[in-house]
Amino acid sequence: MSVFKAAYINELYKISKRKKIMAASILSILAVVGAAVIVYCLNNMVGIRATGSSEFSLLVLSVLSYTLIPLFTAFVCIDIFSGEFTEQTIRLTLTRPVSRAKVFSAKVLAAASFIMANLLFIMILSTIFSFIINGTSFNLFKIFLSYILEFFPLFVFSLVVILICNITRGTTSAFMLSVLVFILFNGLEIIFPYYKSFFFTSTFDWYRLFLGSYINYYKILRCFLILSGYSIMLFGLGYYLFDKKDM
Amino acid sequence: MKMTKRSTAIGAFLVGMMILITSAFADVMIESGYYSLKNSVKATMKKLSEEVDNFSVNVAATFKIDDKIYAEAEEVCKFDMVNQAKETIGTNMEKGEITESYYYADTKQNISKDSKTGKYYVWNKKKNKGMNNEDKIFENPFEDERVMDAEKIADAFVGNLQDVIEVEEIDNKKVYIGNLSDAQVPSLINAISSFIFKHSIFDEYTTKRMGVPYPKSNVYVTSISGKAIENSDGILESIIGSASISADDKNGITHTYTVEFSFDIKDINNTTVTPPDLEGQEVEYNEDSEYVFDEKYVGKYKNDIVKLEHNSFVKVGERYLEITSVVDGKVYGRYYEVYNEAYEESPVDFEFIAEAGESSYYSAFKYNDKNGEEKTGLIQKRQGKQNIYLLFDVEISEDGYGYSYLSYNEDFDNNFVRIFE
Amino acid sequence: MDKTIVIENLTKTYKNNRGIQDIYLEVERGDIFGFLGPNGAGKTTAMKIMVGLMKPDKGDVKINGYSVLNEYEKAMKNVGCIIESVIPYPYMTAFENMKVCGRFYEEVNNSRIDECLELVGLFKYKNEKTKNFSLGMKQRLGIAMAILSNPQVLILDEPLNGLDVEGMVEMRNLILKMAREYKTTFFISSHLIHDIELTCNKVGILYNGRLLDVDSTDNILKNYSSLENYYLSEVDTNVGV
Repeated sequence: MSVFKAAYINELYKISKRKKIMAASILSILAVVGAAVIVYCLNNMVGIRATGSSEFSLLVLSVLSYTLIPLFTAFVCIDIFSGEFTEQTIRLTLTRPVSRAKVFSAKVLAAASFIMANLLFIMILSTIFSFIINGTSFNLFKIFLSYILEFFPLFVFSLVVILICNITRGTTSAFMLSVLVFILFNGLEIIFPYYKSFFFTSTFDWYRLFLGSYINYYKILRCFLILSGYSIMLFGLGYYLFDKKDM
Repeated sequence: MKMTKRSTAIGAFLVGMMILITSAFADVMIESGYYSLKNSVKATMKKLSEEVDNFSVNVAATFKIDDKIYAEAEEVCKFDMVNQAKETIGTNMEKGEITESYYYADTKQNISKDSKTGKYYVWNKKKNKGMNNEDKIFENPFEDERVMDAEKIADAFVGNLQDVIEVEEIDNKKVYIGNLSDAQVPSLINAISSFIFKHSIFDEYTTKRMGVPYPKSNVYVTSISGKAIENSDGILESIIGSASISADDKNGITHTYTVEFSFDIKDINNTTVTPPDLEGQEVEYNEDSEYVFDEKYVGKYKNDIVKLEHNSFVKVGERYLEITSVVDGKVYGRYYEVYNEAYEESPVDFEFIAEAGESSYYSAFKYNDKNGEEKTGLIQKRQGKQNIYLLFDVEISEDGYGYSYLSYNEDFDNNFVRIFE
Repeated sequence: MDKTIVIENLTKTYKNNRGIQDIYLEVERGDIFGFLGPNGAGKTTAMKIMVGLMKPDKGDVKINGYSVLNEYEKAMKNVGCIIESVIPYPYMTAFENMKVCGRFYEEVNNSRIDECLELVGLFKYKNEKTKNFSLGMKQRLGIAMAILSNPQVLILDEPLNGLDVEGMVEMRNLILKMAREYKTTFFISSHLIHDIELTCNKVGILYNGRLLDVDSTDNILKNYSSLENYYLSEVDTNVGV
């Protein structure tokens, strides 16, 4: 366990040393500020409140969960997999007394931690801004729940990117392919709405299922199972490829 | 050990795939409340338009501000699908003032009533005219291509909200319940509906006329809710819904604007539609063939050809439209232009036979333009006036009712004035 | 004797039919084993399999009695290595790179890191990002990383790559000292025959993916004037056959 912990801390340490983490934070702040300015202007110039009583945070979530957050997630996953493959720095970790299963799990957990941290960061930022521009009371629990729930589909997306990293050579091709898959899945979902349950991107707004007065538990269970199925499948396949890889 | 590691990975992959496929299939098979409701609406429309002999529909809408009723409207529509007859009785209340309306239509006549004077207006329809879709009293809207496209867009937009519609079975009836809180209304929909509400439905003029506060700022949708009941025959017999929008007026006071509506379908195969008893009532009769030309239009019409030169209008000639005879709605005529000597151009001159086609609103004719190409033109009566409207180079729409310009000549004056000699 | 490294029937074939075939080799504790062979003979392939970067088609490698295929963590517990050129994380400093490696060992702390950096002469650059390091500096950092945990076994693929003369001498002395004082087992590949002659007490020759001969340096030098002559004659006889 201490070996796994070391591997996990190392992955976090490496992510934190990259400049991208700074860029991600700054862009997140800019995005939230930008959204706040737009919402503020809409209200003060056109008189329309794009967000309900307290839901600026949810507006930010609904926009960023399709744009910046998956983008950063892809960047980080590509850095810790494809980046290390092409730089060959992966050897520094793999020649230590730590099994590949632990290295892979540590990297996946680090990616998951990044997603969670990114979501919480945006949540706190947007809640502060929401307080500044609306100034009304708001339901912190709803906001918190929505951000936590958004973690699951994003985690599946990170596993998709990790799988792609273990198939492709080079960071650019991995990135292009990840973006393509994301757009393709979103597109297929619109073209074949009847089969959208098969695409993990259809769960990107599943937190809305929790927000109303009527909560469809069976649907939530199905969504959760779909996401779990995706996670287990992608984790297994990703690990298989990672373990097989000659470095 | 090596094998077990890999087989664990492959095993995990297979288990994950199983979970994914079974739950996704289950998700596809288990119809969401939204799809179920949509199918129910479609089935209802299909049954009403094709299977049922007659039925009544009650539609009511209430507009409230801060729980105070400002306007109310109710309409009772009776449909007799066998005899293609329809009767509509409406009541409208605005600012405490009640107005009523009455309308009756069947294959032979349309009757309406002026609620102020109590006078009936009767339009007799042209006989021998084949029944086509436009005349049907009730049509399945889901057969319209535009509605089908809109449905697809709606499906894409609804996303995961389609599962917030709850379906319950009570006494053999299916009940659909949906409530959207402000947190669930997607921001884009919120912004668009707030914008439409503020600028189209409840603009400054309307609010002033109705004497209600104008929604100046902080406009947002607070809740949308609805309930629908499907009876054992698969027909939605009742739909009620309400939507609330919150807004601040110019004094900064927050108001809640609420619209409630209800839609009831009842007396299926138990409705009779009878024309009103016109005995002893004041009645004005009109012919539906009002737009078709008759003999009184035989004569000469003209307007001036005018050019703008050095910032002054100069008359350069005259256009003439001559109607020589009208036989059974067919119009025989001639069109020609006469230019002043100084502005001699090759003048247009042709004869035409115009006929009212599907639509009785205009009579179309073929002519050859300056380049010898065959084009379509049309003449139109101006209701209650002696003058005629003439249009060149138009295209008659496929259904035969509308038309559009293919080319438009700004210098051409469509209005031809009757010359009385 | 105590067999530290046992390579059993190791086979790995690449798509182009090159690779290694049926290598059998034993290295005893305290040995400094020199792995000789021309470019493309399969030295790096064998060493990559030894440290788990590659999976063999057949065979196994046991280090301290543990299989690298099945008990990797135990097998690598006391192993340090350099494979091909050393590539540290470019966006981190020398110290941070060492820190990342050191987390896997309980006994490694900051003073041990400083000690290792001092030993390879990089202490004054410890807070510089490694992207600005020269090839030799990276190699020194690699050595520091390899010896960080005081390993019983060091597997070094071309450890003198990019080092200046001074560095080579320092390196050689370090290897000899560790073998003598701590009974550290070395498995070194190099194309510098002279250097192998001076450092190693046992030599194996790899040619075209096959291990031709293993003998002690003393034995060889009894029969040949130099290691170079031995190498050339071994290759000659085997190519002739």
